[in-house]
Amino acid sequence: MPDGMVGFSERRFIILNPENGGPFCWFQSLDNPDLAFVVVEPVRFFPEYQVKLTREEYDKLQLEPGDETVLLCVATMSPDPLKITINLQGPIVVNPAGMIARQLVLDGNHSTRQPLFAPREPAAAGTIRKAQPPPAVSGISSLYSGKGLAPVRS
Amino acid sequence: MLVLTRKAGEAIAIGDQITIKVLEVKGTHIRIGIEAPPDFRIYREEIYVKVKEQNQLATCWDLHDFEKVVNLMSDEGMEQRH
Repeated sequence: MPDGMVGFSERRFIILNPENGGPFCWFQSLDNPDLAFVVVEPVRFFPEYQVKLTREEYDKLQLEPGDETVLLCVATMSPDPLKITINLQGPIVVNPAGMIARQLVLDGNHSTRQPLFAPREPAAAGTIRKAQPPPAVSGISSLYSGKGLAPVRS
Repeated sequence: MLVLTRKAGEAIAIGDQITIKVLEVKGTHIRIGIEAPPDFRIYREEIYVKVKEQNQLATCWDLHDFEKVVNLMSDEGMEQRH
């Protein structure tokens, strides 16, 4: 991760897929054992969420349009599942073949705290279901007109 | 930092592809027009700060909470889709 996570100096990370971790993976720093993010593939929850890369971002990730990519979002965890949010404004794009990743800051208007789950209706305490897709996750089309980044399921 | 003084209607060029124009000065607000190739991400600085702050919040999680949430999700049939 040549530029690290926004606001952090660590550069080398590993993606861990813990047993029974549900949709969550850990984005663990190799150089700082105390630094780990919880990440999810946003497409599991918000199928319409797509990120288009700029030419510069393709270059920095050593990708060409159409190459396999993995799109992740950082989760902010909470003991209450309904309060778990993901950051759609700052997704992580991974080039799995080249083992390069970057956290982008998107220019559209996305939530940095998008709830992952919505209360089941009628709302019953402790029940969860998938949240409705957020309204503002399309329309980054003014960027590089190459093929949109299609999130790949692991 | 390079400091330049500009009046409304005047512009600054950065390289040969980016032009930043002062459109209007009104009290404490300045309207700025930016011409750049579509392949550039341009955003208010606050957005970058928000992502940075959210990253910092996101690092503060607890393995116990993580396991509790995952267990609750499987109890609720919220296993990930395949």
